[in-house]
Formats: sequence, structure tokens, C-alpha cells
Amino acid sequence: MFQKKLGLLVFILLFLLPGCQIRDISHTAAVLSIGIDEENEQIKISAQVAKPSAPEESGSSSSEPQFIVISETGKSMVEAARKMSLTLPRIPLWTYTNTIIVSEDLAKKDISFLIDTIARNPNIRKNSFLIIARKTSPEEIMQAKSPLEPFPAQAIVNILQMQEKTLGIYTAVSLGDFIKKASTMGIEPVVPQFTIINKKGKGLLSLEGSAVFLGTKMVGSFTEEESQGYRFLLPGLKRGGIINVPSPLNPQNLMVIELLNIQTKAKAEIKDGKILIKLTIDSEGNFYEQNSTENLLNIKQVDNIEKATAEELKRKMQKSIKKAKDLKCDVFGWGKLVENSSPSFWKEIKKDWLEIFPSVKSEIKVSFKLRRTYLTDKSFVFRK
Amino acid sequence: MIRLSNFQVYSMLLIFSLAVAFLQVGKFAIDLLFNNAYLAVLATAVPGILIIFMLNHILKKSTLPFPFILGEHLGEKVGKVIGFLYILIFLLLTSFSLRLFVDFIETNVLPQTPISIFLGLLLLCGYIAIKTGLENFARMCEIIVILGVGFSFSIVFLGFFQNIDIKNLLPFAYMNWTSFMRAVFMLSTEILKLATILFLGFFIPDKNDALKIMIKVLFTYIILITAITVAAILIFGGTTASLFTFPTFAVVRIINIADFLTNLDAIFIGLWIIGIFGTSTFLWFMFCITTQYVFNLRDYRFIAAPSSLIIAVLAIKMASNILEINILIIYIIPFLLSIFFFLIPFLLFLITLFKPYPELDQENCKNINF
Amino acid sequence: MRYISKKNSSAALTPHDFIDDKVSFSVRENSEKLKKILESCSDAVFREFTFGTNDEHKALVLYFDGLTDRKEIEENILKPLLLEIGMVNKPEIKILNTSGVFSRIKNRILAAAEVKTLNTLGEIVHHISSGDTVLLINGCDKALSAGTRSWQSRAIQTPENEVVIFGPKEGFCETLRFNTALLRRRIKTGNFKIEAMVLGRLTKTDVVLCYIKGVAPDSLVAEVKQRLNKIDIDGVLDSAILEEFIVNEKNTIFSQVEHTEKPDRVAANLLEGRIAVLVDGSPMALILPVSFPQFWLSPEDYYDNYIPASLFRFLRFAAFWISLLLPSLYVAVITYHQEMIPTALYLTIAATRQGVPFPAFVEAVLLEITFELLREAGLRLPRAVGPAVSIVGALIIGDAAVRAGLVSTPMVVIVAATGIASFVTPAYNAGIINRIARFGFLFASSVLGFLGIMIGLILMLTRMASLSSFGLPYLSPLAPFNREQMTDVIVRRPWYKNITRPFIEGMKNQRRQNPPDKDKGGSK
Repeated sequence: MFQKKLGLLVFILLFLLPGCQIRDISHTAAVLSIGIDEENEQIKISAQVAKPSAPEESGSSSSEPQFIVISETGKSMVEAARKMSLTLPRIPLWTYTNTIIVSEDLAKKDISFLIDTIARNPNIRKNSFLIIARKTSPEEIMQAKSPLEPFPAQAIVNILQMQEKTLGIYTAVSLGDFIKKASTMGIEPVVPQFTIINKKGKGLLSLEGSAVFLGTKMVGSFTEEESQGYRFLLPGLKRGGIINVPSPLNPQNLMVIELLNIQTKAKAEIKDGKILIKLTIDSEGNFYEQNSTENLLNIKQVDNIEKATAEELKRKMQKSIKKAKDLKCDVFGWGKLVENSSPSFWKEIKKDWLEIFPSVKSEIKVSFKLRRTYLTDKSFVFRK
Repeated sequence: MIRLSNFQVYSMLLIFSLAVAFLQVGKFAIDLLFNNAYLAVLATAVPGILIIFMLNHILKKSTLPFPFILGEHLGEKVGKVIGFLYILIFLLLTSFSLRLFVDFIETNVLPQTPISIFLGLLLLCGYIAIKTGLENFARMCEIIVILGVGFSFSIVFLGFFQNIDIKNLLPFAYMNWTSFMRAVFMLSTEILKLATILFLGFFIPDKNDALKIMIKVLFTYIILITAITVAAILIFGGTTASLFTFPTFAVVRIINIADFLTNLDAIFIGLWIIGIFGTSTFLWFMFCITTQYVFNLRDYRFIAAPSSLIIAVLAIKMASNILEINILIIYIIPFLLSIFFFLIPFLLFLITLFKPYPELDQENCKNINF
Repeated sequence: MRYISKKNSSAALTPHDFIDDKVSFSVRENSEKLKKILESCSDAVFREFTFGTNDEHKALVLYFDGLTDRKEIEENILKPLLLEIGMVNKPEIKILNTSGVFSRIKNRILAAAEVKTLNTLGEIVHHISSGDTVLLINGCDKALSAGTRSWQSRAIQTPENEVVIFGPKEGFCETLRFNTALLRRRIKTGNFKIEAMVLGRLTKTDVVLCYIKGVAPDSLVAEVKQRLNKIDIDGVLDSAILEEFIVNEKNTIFSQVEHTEKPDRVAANLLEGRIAVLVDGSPMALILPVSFPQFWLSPEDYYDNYIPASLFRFLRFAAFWISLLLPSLYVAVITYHQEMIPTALYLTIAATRQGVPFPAFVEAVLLEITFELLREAGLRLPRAVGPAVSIVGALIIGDAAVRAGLVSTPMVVIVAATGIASFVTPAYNAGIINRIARFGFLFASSVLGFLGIMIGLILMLTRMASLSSFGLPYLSPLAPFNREQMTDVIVRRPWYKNITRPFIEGMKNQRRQNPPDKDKGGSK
């Protein structure tokens, strides 16, 4: 009996504790996106806060945005973030953040402080996406209205994921990946960039290029082609994407190949202190379009189509490698490959790796297999 | 006379050695060996088996369970003095495991609640469990093991479905023998907790099964810790994983099933709470039993209430910040464990080496009233 | 319970002075005493008559009207004595002298199937109260009782509280004999024992203990018998009264005895070595010992194909957790762990919570209490009004409360889902455990979130682990863990694999079938 009374007492005492109910859902506001910028030598944090709205209301009031953006500046990130309490009558919940937007200017200086704050903070999920705002500020990206999606943050996530399947240019990077790559020697992060483009007077969100980092500092940017090459070069299996290939019969004409699988295997070979990176890319795809009426699709041409596609893939990759070498930035993780194949050798050259990297030779073997041609299995040859 | 089944003893030993280790041990190993941490975990099997055989030998040559075993082999007076030291150790370990738990909760779940509440609640649960006796506690341990081990394995399993990089395992890249030996030592200190078989081993139907049980515990332990260490290394890589305060927890947080079941950490914490409850209650129980032995008390149950106060105060005063706790984890606790869970059993082992096997086996401990 | 009075109040009953008296030789004296005992008992019938050729024998027939079959009394007692003696036994009339008359009547004349000799007035009263007819003859210091029990009783019907789709549909009724017959019909062996005892100082209720000798552990039978015999109470009106006397731990919400109205369920349990206690006047049988997981196994599982039955069992376990924890999980999540829910769901819930004046905990408790009120009201309502009230309760109150902004819509959904899940419980008294514990968990979760729920679970587990029902640990076979039996709890094991009985302390014969031949193999 005594224990029961004691238990009851403890529970009653607990209930009297003040401050227990402060986190009730009606006192909170979900932050969907965090923007980090610099203003007057101070850090500026912007937050996209979702307005809670009942499902039936959301349709009718589409003219009004479903979110608000608030910004605060402070000497540190946390200070700026906490200063939001001065204007926001609710507790911001940072756990719903799915995108973190960093301004280009800040990224070009150094964002190591950001990594420390984010890795330490239990409220920020490490699987949210990191993007860089190009030629604009994070705050503007947050305020840009995206068609169909009520929240730009969600739009960004969707765009990042969808384009990888359909177009296959950019590689989304999560905070966790970024932290991992930024803190590991021998591999550098590449982060997609978003910008706002003007179409018929409306500002629209759009992916444009990807930022190349050296550690936590942005040193340059990949164009669309280079980003695509970077995607092909990343070890592992990638699915989806299309590629324009000059026709083997007449290079003026184009054919479009849909890539199904791109399997990249990378290995470093070390001989007499010289490093050779061997890259093997096995890919397969479907024939999707041709912009001429030449007779491409017959059994004799398949080989040529395959070769041309492989060539095109290789060209994109080489372009990407060249850019990376120019930037002296080992975004492909070749340093790690060296480490894997010879840890002792890696220890010796680790310090000078960034200097060595541009001179590292690589050997790319690309193979492409054509699988299907969808609903028509011949080229249209009109009225012959 | 208490009767425990083999599975119950297995569960109690497993909770006792694994609950804290699951969160902490991977961390030591990764800190010391980065990508090769899992090798140290696997290597722990060797000292583990040696410890197990030593314990089994002592067990076979003794007739009385743990605190009495000291008196049996070392003489009544010496036994009581050492028993007294054990009281202090158990007290410290109970407070420590509670404190570790509280700090974990404070960092990850409910940062604003005062720690005295958590301590109070866990102590309340432990107190009730001790009051109802060892047999009921053993039953709870079974349930905890069935739920907890299953869940831990599923975490690891799901972890392997995330974005992993097999090359992170890098065999022998970071093999530094000094760190390796240190890591193995640290990991083995957790296995030393198996020494509690000297208490539990007397209550199973057949004392000869103790060896089998201990080996099972050891292997479950090694498999789980290896798996979680490997998962952490595969997902984060050695350098990044060593940055985290709790790599295991970081693995749980990264798990994402079909974009819907994303934040499993609360469930993990929930189960882990039960595990910690098991560990601390068991240690507390051992404290009570040893106190009963040293001071020749008739019952141990009434010690629970007053000692809870000491444990709570000790847990709060033990360390002022997480860095101090890390020092406790890395230096002090392994040191204490290796003295009291290795050196003293080793002493017993040496003494019993030349003793004949006892004739009356389980008769003697029937007279002891737990 | 007003019916169960305190001990000393029975001393005031004067007729009891005669109750221990022996039957005297004089019918008149006996008749006077009995009339005093049965004073103001308007249903007692005294029929005095004489028989024999010269009307030399005075006799008295005594019975309670309504408990007896009057036709049987006329046919088997009065007719032989009044008429047939004269016809059949003419040459032997002389033999019917005072000394031999008693045994003669008992052995040759009374045509009733069950005849007993009684010695005291107390016995006489007890017998006539049970529906027997008592015959007193002048000059004999003994009385004869003939079994003429017959009264209006509810027929054997389908039990209303345990509805099944597959399997037998008979249910117990209020008459003990019918109930034991239902069991005997299912278990046709001499080893099936039905031990009788009489409990209740005033009610003198028949209580029987059913078990199968050789299957049920003897120690258990002895223990139950001893606990039953210790009961000294004035009245036993239902089996539930006995439950509180015989269980190990009294101050707990965890029911340690299973109640059932279904004879097939009792028989199944008897075959597993358990004991059933049946009480006259109660359609509920007590089954003991039971463990907690057993409450969640429906008897119907065993009549269905084992694969769907196993799936239903999973469903039922899910329902157990839902009905226990869903509201508290919801409160914990929206009060402390908002990060656990997906963003879209968060936004929806946050929107509906806007403007709700109560904290989530109060909201949940209000709704839960409303639900419990509706449920309780639904039980007591006359059939005609029942549906009306449930419509008012469920639709109008719920909808109006949401519209008025008193509660949020998700909370209504949660409480409704919990309510539905709580009806899935096969055993009613196990459902009560959840209904009560739910509030405790709600409270704990509102104070400490997930942590509170876990601490609540630890406390509940500790309590359950410490209970035992007649030596059977309450959480078995989960703890102490038994793999073989556990498989029959998690899934419904196919019958051909059900080789052993669940173990109960002291059980000797655990095998229930010979394992199928390996080479023939049921699995082929």
C-alpha cells in the first residue's frame, strides 16, 4: 500500500510542476525551411513558418500564401534564431525543416560555423536538404511562389527529387551527406543551387547549377553539363535521366536516350607512387526520340548508337573532371579511393592531396546497352 | 529459495551488460579506431571467453551465491571487508547508470525538465521492482529482452537500408595497436559485468548450464554491438561518426522508412529507458543483497527506500557536466570494473583452482533467504 | 450489496431454534414445528392424509409450490400411497405395520427416481427449498425426500455477451444441473469430476468444482477446494462473489479468473488442465488459473482455419495496444514530440487544435469520460431508447463539440478508434483493465510525454509480473518465457501441432495427443 501512495504522491507532484505544458501543439509553429545569409557582418537567419490551416480552408484562400517568412540577425546562428521569439508568438519547431538554404556570398566565405551548429543541434534533422541560393538571397527563395505546391520548401524538395528521376542532372545532398563529405579528407561536397527566374513577370524557383565546395567553402560552380557528369561519376547505382546524343549517321541530328541504370565503379591504382583512377561505368537505357527521319533503328546501327551514347557520357564526365581539376577540388572522392586501396600511401600524401589531385590521371571505361525503343520499333521513314 | 529459468538468467545478464553498452561502447571504439572500430568489438570475444571460463570455474567450485562466495573462499572477515567495498561500487554504478540515462534524455528528448524528476521516477520503478522480489524482476527482464533485442536488431537492419558506403569499413586502415588494445580493454570491461553470474548462477535448475548461458550472452552482445558499430560506420564514416555524442542514436535518427516513419528516436528512447531501468534496478538489487550480507540483516527489501535517496544525491553530484561524465566513462568506470569485476574474481579463481569440487551443491544456498 | 448481511444479524431468527431438532415419531409434532419454521412462507404446502386399509397411517407431504413438479408428486408419491397400496398389496397389508412401513414405502412404494432418508428438520427444510418433496409418516423418526425438482427456468440460449460466428452457440443458464449436463455431454469420461459443495449460510447455494482427474493438477484441485471451503458468508448469488474470495491478490484491477457463459469454452479449458467453478443461479462459470495473455485469445480462434485465426489474433493484439495507449500516445505526441508526426499531419492537427480552449490532456479526458458515460448508459438503457441515445451521443455531441470548438476533430477520431478497439477484447473483464489503465497512461503522457508512458508501462509490467493466479504466473507464457506455449499465443497453432497442454504447476500429464507420424507428416 505504501508504494502505491508514494507513486500517487509523485504523480500529483509532477502534475503541479510549472512549465510542463509549454510545448503543446497549439503553442508551436513549424519551420519548413531555414535560410542563412549575411547582413552587415552579422548572420541573418530566415525561417519559413507554415500557417496551420484546416484542410477545407486551404483550397479557398489560395491567393494568400500559406506561410510567412521571418528574418532576424544576430552575431551567432542560435542568437539570430532565438531572436525570432521577439516577433513570433509561438515556439518555432525546427524539426520540420526539410531544406536549408545558404546564400552564395556566405558560402563563398566559409560555412564551418553552420556545420557545427547543425550537427550539434538535436532539433535539425540531418536528412534535410542543403541548397545554395544563387544570385539571390535565401529569403527571396523562401518567398517565391511555386506553382501547385503551397510551400516553397516542399517545392524545392520535390524538384530536387523529381528532376533526378526524369532529367537526371543534379544530385541532391542532405545535411548529413554534406557534413560527412565536408569533414572527411579526400572527398568534397557538391550542393545544388536554386535561383529565381522570371517568367511572365512571375518569379519562379528553378534549379540552376551546383556549387562546388572545398571543405566548407564554396570555390566554384558546375554548369548543367558538369553537374550531370558529376552525377555519372559518383560511385554507385543511379537511376533515371535523359541524354542528348548526336546521331551516329549524321552528327547534326540528335537522338534522345533515356538512361535507366548507371552503375559506376571506381578504383584507384597506385604504381610507383603514381595514382591512376579507373572508372568503369555500365549503363543501360531506352531509345526515346530522334529528330530526323534517318533509319537509325536497325540491328546494324545498335552498336553505333551504343558507342555514341557512351562517348557522350564520357564527354560529359571528362568535362566535369576537368572543371573539378581546375578548381582543385576533389568532389569525386578520389582521395578516398586512394585511401581504400592503400591506407599507408594515403597517409603520406594526405597533406598535399589538393595539390596532387589536378595531376591525377583517370581512365574511364563507359559501356552503354540499348534495351528498348518503346511503342515503335523502327525509325519513321516517311513516304519512301 | 528463488528459482530462475535459464532464459531469465540470460535476459538479466544481457540487459545488465548490454543496455548501457549499446549506446556507449560503440562510441569508445569509434573514437579510438575510427573506421576499424568493429574489429575491436569482434576481438572482444577472446577476452570475453577467457572471462567466461574463469567465472564458470569459480561457479563450479563454490556452493554459495555471490556475496557469500567471498566469505566462503576468503574467510568470513576478509569477505565482509571486500563485501563492504562492493556495496560502495554497486551504489556508484547504480547512480552512474541512472545519471547516464538522465543525461541522454536531457540532451535528446526533454531538455527543460529537471533531472530530479527522471531520477525520482526511475527510482520509484526500481524500488517497486525490488520490493516485489527478484523473481518478478526476472520476469520483467525477459519481456524487456524479447522486446528490446528484437527492436535493436531491427534498427540495425533498417540502418543498413539507408545510404551506406561499404568502403567505409576499410580493413586495417586505422589499425593502431595501442588504440586497438585500449579499445578491446574498454569493451571487455563491459563484458566483465557477466561476473554477476556468480550470483545468478546459483538459482538456475542446473549450475552447469551457466557456461552455455554466458556464451550466449557474450555472442548476443558481440553481434549487436558489432552490428550497430558497423551501421554507424557505414552510414557516417569513421571520422564523422566519432563526432557524435551517441553514434547509435545518430543511426536511429537517420532511419527513414518510405518518408513516413521518419523519427523513430522516441520509440528507441522508450525501449532504452526500459533497458536502463533493468540495469539500474539490477545493480541496486545487488547493492541491497550485499548490504544484507555484510551487516547480517534478515531482509534486504527495506534497504531499498533509504538507499534511493543516497543514489539520487550521488547521481546528481557525481559529475557537473557531460565532459566529466565522459571522463567517468572512459577512465574511472572501466578502472573500477576491472578491479571489482575482474581482479577479485581472478583472486577467487586462483584460490578455487586448488580446491576440490564441492560435494553438496545446491543444498547450501537453500538456507539463504533472499 | 444489501443481501449480504453482517454475521450477528442471523441470531434474531427464532424458527431456527428447531432447525437442528431430530424428526420425532409424531407427525403432528413435526408438522407443528415445521409450520413454525416455515411461518409466513405462503408457498409452503402441507398435505396431511392417511393411508392403509384402515387409515391407520397418518402422513404428511411437504413441498414448496413452484419448485416442484406437482404432477410428479401426485403420480409418484400420493397415488401409490393412497390407491395402489390397496390394489397391489392386498395380501400383504398386514405387513404394513408401524415398524416396517418406512423401509417398505421407501423401497417398494414410492415411485420417484431419487429418494433419500432425512433425519433432522433442518435437512427437511433444505430439501424442500431445493424443490424436493418430503414425506413424513407417523411413527417413524425419519423423513423421506423424493426428488421432484422442477421449476421454470430460462432455456438454454446463445450467450449474449460472447457472440461467436464459428463453433457451438449454447450458453449456460441459471440452473446448475443443466449447466453440468452441458459439460458432461461434452466430456464423456468418468474422470470428469463434478464435486459439489454447499456455500452460503442462508442461501445454501450449490457450488460445483469441475475438473478432469489426471489432467488438472491434484494440488491445484485441493488448493481451490480449501479456499472455497474457507468461505463463510450468508449468501452466494453469483460466481463473481466467489472470485473475490479465492484469488491470490485482491487489491488489483487485473482479473485473475476468467468468466464465461460458454460450455465449450469451459470444456476446452478443462482439457487444458484448468478448473471450473459453477454456481447455482449463475450462468457464469469461473475458470482458473488464468494468465493475462489468455484473455486475448478468443475461443473462436480454435474453430476457424488457423491462418485467418492467427491473423485475427494479430489484429486483436493490435487492438489491445490501441485501446490501451492510443489516446496517451496522441497526447504525448502533440504535447511533447511533435517531430514524430509527418509535416502535413502536423499542419492539419495544428490547424484543428487552433482555438480549442483546453490542453490536449483535458480534451482527451473529457472525451474519454463522455465515451465511458455513453457506454455505461447504453448498457442500462431500455432497448427502445438505446439507439436514440447512441445517435445523440455519438453524432450530435461529437459533431456539436467539434463545431463549437470545444474539442478538436483528430481527438474525436482518436477516442472513437480507441473505443472501437476496446470492443475487440474477447474477455469482458480484460477490457475493463484497459479502460481503467488508459486514464493512467493519459495522465502520465500529459506529464512526461513518451517517457511517462514508458514509466507507466514499467509500473504496469511490474505489477503484472508480481501477480499469480493459483500459482500460475500472470504473464506466463511470456514471462516466465516458454517458447512452445508462446507460439500458441502469438499465432493460433494448427491443431495437429498442439501436442502439449500449457503447463500449470503440478501438472503431470502434459501430452494431449501423440505427435503425428514423421514419415506420414501432416505437412505433406
